[in-house]
Amino acid sequence: MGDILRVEDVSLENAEGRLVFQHLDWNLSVGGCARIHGAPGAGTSAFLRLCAGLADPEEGRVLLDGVALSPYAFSHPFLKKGGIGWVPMEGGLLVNLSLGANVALPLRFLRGHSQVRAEEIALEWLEAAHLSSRAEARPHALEPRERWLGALVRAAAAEANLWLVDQPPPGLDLQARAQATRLLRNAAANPETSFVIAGNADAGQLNATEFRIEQGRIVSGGIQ
Amino acid sequence: MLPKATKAQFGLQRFASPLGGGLRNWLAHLGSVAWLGLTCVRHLLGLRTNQLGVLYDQTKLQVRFTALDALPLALLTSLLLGGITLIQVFAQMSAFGAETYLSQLLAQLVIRELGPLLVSVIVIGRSGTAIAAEMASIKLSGEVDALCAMGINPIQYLLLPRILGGIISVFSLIILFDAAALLGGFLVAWSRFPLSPQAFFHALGNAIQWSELIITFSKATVFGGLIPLICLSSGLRVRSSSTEIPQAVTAAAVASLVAVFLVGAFLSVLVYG
Repeated sequence: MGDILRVEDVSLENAEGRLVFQHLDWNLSVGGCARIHGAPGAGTSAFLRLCAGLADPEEGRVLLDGVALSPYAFSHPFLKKGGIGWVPMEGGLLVNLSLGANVALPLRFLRGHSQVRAEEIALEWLEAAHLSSRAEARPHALEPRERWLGALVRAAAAEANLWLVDQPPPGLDLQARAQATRLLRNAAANPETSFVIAGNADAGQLNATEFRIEQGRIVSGGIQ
Repeated sequence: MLPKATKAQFGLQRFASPLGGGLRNWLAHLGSVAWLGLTCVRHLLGLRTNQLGVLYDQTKLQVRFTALDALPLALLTSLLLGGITLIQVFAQMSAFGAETYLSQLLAQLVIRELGPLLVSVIVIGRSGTAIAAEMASIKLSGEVDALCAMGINPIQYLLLPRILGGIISVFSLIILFDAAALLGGFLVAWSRFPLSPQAFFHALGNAIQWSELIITFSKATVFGGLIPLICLSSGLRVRSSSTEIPQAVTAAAVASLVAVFLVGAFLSVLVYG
C-alpha cells in the first residue's frame, strides 16, 4: 500500500517565529496508525495542523494521498474521496449549530445527503457514542469531553479516511475514554482508514506505531 | 558611537516612516475587502447544487436576524422620521405657499437618500457589528480551521450566506422603511395640516419616478453587499487574541459607515448630479 501522508523536508515556524520543525521527513501508509508523543509545546498539535494543511511550511511539502497539500485547495482529490476527520482538543464544533447539526454538516455539505437523512445518520452516531441526549445542545452548553467526543462522532459519521486526533481535554473519564476507543476501533475496521493520534488519546486498540517529537524532529518510540 | 550623518538618517527615518500609515492601512483594508468580494463571487460560482440547501438555510437565518428582528426598530424610526421631516418641511415651505410640493419633497428625500442611509446605519449597528464579532470569535476558536480541515469551504459556508442575507435584508428593509416613512409623513399631514389625502398621494405618485426606484434598488444592493463584506473582512483580520475582537468590531462599524456614506454620495451624484 502507498502512503496516505508524506512529509518531505518540512521546516515550520509557529506564529511567534520559533522553529517548530526542521527538515522533517515522515510518512504514514494507508491504513496505518501513528501515535505522536511530545513534551508540552513540542509541537504535536502543530504537527496535526501540518498534516491537515492548516499550516504552511516554510520549506518542504506535505503530500496527502500523493497530492501536495500546500497551497490548500478545496479541490484536493482526497477531500472529495474520504476526507479528513479533524478532532482538535477543543472539538472545533461550530458554536451556532447544535451538536447534531455539527455532526450532520459534513454529511450535507460534502456528501450531498438531504437534511433529514444527514440528521438521521448524525443521531445514529450520537446514540452509538451515548451523546444523543445532547444532540440539541450548542457547543457552549457541552462539557469539554463532550465537545471532543462530538468531534470524533463527526469524523466517524463523515466516514473520514484520515483521522487527525489531538489529545483529549484533561479529565477524560473512563466512560468517555471507552466511547472514544469504540469509535476509533469502529473506524479502524475499514482497512483504508488511517490515524494520526496525538498525546494520550486512547489508541491502545489500534496497533499504533509510536513516535516522539524531539527538537523539531520525529523519532520512533514512545514516551521516555 | 554612530556618526552624525547616520544618526540624522535614523532620526529622519523614525520621523518619516509613520507618515501615511493611516492611508496605507486604509488602502490595505480596501484591498482586502475587494479581494474578499471577488473571492466570494468565484466561490459562489463553484457551489454544487447539493450544497445550495445548506446555503439557503444559513441565508435564511441571516435574513431573520438582519431584517426580521430589526423590523420593529426600522419601522418605528421610519414612521417618526417621516412625520418629523414633514413637520420641518411644512414649516419652511408654507412660508412660500408651496405646501403642494410637500409630499413630493418628502418622497424624494426619503426614497433617494434617507431611507437607504438610515437602514444601512441600523443594519451596521445591529448586524454588521455582530457579524464582525462572530467572525473574529469563530476564527479565534479554531472553527474556521475545523471547516477547512474537513474540506468545507468557509467562504461558501460562512461568508456567502451572510453577504446574500445582507443584500436581501437591506433591500427588504429599505422598501418597508420608505413605505413607513411616507405613511408617517401622511399621518402627520392628515392630522395637523390642511392637506387632503388625495392631493398628498397624487403629488406622491408624481414624485416617484423610475429614477427613484433605480437609485433605491442600486443603493440597496450595493449597501447590502458592502456592509457584510466589510464586517466579515474586519472580523477575519484578527490574529491571535480575544482582545482584538472589540477592535475588529469598531473598525467594522467605522469602515462600513464611511463606505456607505461615500458610496451613497457617489451614486447620488452619478444619477442626479
